[in-house]
Amino acid sequence: MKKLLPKKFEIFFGTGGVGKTTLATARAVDLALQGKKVLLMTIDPSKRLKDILGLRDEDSGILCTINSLQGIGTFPQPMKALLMNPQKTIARMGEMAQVSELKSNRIVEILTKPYGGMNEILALIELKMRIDEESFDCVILDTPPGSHFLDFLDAIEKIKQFFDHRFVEIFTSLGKKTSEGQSKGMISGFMDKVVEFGVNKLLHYLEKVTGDSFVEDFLKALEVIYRSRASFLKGIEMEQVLSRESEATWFLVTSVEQGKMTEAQDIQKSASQKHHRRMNLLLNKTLAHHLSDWQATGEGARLKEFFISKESAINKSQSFEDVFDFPEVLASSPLDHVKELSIHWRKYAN
Amino acid sequence: MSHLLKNFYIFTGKGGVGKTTAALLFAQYLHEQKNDVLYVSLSQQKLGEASAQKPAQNALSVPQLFLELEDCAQGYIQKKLGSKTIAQWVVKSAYFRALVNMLPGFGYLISMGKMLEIIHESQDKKILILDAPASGHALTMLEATKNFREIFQSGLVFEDTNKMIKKLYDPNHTCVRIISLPTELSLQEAIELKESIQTLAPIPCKVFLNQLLSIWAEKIQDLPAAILEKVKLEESVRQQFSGHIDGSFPLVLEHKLEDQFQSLKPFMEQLI
Repeated sequence: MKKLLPKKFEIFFGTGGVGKTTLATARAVDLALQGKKVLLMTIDPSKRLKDILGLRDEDSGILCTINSLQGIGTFPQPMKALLMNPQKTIARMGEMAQVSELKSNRIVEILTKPYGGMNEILALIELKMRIDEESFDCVILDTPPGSHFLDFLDAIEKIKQFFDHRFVEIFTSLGKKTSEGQSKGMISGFMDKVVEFGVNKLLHYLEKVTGDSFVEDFLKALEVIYRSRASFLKGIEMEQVLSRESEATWFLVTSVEQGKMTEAQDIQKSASQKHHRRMNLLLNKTLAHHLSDWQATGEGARLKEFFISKESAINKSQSFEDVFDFPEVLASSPLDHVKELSIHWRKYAN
Repeated sequence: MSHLLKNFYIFTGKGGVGKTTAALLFAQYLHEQKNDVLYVSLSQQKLGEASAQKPAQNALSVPQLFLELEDCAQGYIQKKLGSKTIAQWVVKSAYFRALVNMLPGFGYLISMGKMLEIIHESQDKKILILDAPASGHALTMLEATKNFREIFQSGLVFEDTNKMIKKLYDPNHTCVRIISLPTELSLQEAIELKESIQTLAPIPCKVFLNQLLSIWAEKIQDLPAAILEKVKLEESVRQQFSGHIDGSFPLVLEHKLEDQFQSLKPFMEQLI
């Protein structure tokens, strides 16, 4: 049987509806039961999963302590869980950089909405802030559901592109001399750079189409983001840690029922080309082993073939570091799902 | 065109629930009934990236359109500024790309505008079937117009956005079809999405269960325990949420869309 090597960070990503959050939770539960000090960071779990973990919406953005789970057991060291809230992350970043407009800017506000363009980078920043405050043996990061599997990997690219690569260089070098960060001169210097890079010409055209208040807001957003750059740099730093093979394991989650096998392989291909990153595949909700003894005939044989052909393709694939199967849990309660899946995690860890 | 039909059908649901198939087959169904139908799917709504999600070739006869964000954006700017060269330059610039890629919904706003324009130009004769992004994103898409109206406040886009909102939020013009798997989690999310959409605007929204196993339980006598258990779970979900389910489709085993169409044709009427 395949063996899973423990690393400090485990990142779960994939599209919605594949059981990503439940698998991540089950992994965190298993590690916590083994006596590890675990931090579980998640975003947008289903209501019933939140109920199990005792997370309430009003606690989002706050670190919660879970001592035990009913029906599963007591953790030797309490597990910490965080329901990510991009708006609260941005508010914290604003406080740290003393840029109060960061949370009130209308463009930034839209960027930080669920499914907003900054959720991925904010998750990295939040993670960095948390591990700087408290040390953990294992961190389980359940990433925001992307429109595409690669959204998360592209987060850093996106933020870099936002400031243009020349900008990031300036951004990074200025970031090193943090103390003078909020001086007025620097902000006007920043605006000079905006002009220098030919942006004003673009903005002039945009203004014609979008109206000047939008352009004004947009520039203001750029400025407040720039003034809070120390936090953004933390996100980039975090990404570098996560890209080290010795530090982090990446799990791409997909489920048999979603029938996204080809897509999963494309992602792996693209991830290894673009990001030079090998990843593991968690194949959720497998049914094949439940069906192997079935001597199906007629319509039954068609149905059996339908289910089995779906998952055999991926198991033959060589492109992933490893493929870990998680059989479909035939129960409706999310607690049963977490319980059964954590038992499966244990099998892979031993 | 039946008076029940709307101009704009938005199909959505989590990835892998059979949303694309449902949207395509529904479009084909309306097409065979002599309606002026267009099936539309969207690129990833990111600029500067090859779109990997082009729908697979199929033998269905309904007209199909794959909308590229870049084309929509360029077309719009060109119309407003009256210059192709400038429009090209703006769309290709790194900052414009970054802007669109960072601001959720900006790309949707642009492509939504294009779709509403297609309907408008047909003098409301055309029926557009949109294969929309996975659920959370569909909300972003519908919210986009509202959000950007607040942001722009003035200018050409502002006026166009206002026009869009009128059509998009008109219950006689637009409706949403949420496709879900017959599992508790999937259905719960579908219902939550419906509630969020209806908080946003009075858009008629219906939830459909897809890939029901129960018809196979009637046909096959010796189903193994695992599948029987799945059927049982499915039944209990259907009972528990009966008030929220507007229709359902059986699981079909055919691989080709045109074969699936033959099996699912009798179920298409409910999507109207």
